[in-house]
Amino acid sequence: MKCRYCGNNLGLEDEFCPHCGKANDKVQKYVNEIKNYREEYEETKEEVVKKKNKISSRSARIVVIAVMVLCVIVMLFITMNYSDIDARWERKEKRIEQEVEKNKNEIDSNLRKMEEQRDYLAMLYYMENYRLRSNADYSEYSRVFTAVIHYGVIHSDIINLVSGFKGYSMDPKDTKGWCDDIAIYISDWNRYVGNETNDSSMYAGEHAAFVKDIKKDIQDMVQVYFELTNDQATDMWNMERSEIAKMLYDQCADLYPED
Amino acid sequence: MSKEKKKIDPQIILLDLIIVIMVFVMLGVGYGLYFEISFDKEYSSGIRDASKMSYELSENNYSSFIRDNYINEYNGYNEAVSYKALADYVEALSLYKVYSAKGYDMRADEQAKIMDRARSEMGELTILADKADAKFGIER
Repeated sequence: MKCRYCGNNLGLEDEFCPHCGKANDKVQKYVNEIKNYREEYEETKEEVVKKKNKISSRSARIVVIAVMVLCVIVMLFITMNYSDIDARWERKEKRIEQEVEKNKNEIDSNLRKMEEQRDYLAMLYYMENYRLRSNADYSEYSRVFTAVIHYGVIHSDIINLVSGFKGYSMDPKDTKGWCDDIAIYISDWNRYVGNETNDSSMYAGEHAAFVKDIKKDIQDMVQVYFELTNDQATDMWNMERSEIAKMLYDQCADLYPED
Repeated sequence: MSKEKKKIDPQIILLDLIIVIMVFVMLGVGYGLYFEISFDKEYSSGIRDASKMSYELSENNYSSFIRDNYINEYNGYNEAVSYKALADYVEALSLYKVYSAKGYDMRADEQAKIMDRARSEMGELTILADKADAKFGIER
């Protein structure tokens, strides 16, 4: 832009000519135009920034949601894996199997010690804990294990009678129920444990002595807790299941009266 | 001075709402996962902790109480010291009654020693040992 008085060059925002000092009457128009341009520029800039922010905050939220959905899917998958009863059971059995394999010598030694010491309950729960009854490596103990199971059940039933425990089922067990249970395990003794004519290794040596002792200890236990006579205690092994149950139940009226 | 009302994008509101819902879903699923892992750990170890043993005692289920004591021992869980002592006591008591009645003095003495030791370790559960004595009809 040139000064219309002296013809020299003027700046766009010069209100007076720096050369001749005359007023520049076009300055207001330019100033207004520049102001408009600036305002327009600021508005456009603001709009772009706003749009950009909007897009980025929306994207951020979508990413957060996606991550959360992914987490939920992964957690559901792991939960399903953990809650699968069969898989859980398999994992546990596998762990026990590996443990038995790893500590076989120690388990063998503990088992022998328990058998020698006639530690029936310790042996029962040791067998149960390490699944030894279903382990082919311990088939020699099969008769001993069956004997300790009989001992354990009779011992538990007697304790339940004494303590007044009724069981957890919907149909509570009464005195007669516990007596019937004991009668089952006494009457089944000969069938499952007492076959002494067999000459395999599971019926010989320490195993045979163990079974003889445990039978006597079961007899003593039943005799003491049911206050049986010597004859009743000795004869119970050859009685019918129902006769045993009746004999035991008859003794309970005074010993373990029901509420 | 006029106050310009800030316009809120409905899409952002919807996304925020979804995030809030997802937080609750994650909490729910997370709790489920925690429960399953804890249960699996407990199931796998076979351990019966003090609270479970205490429940069995409250139900008079002494036989399971004794069983749990052995299972805990075989799985290396020995935190419930007083419950272990009480379980040892009840087991020994049940045998002591038989051996003393039958006149097996040596075996009865062995059980009596276990009972004495257990009593010294069971702390405030001694009261339950007294209760067991009464149930089994034992006075020493």
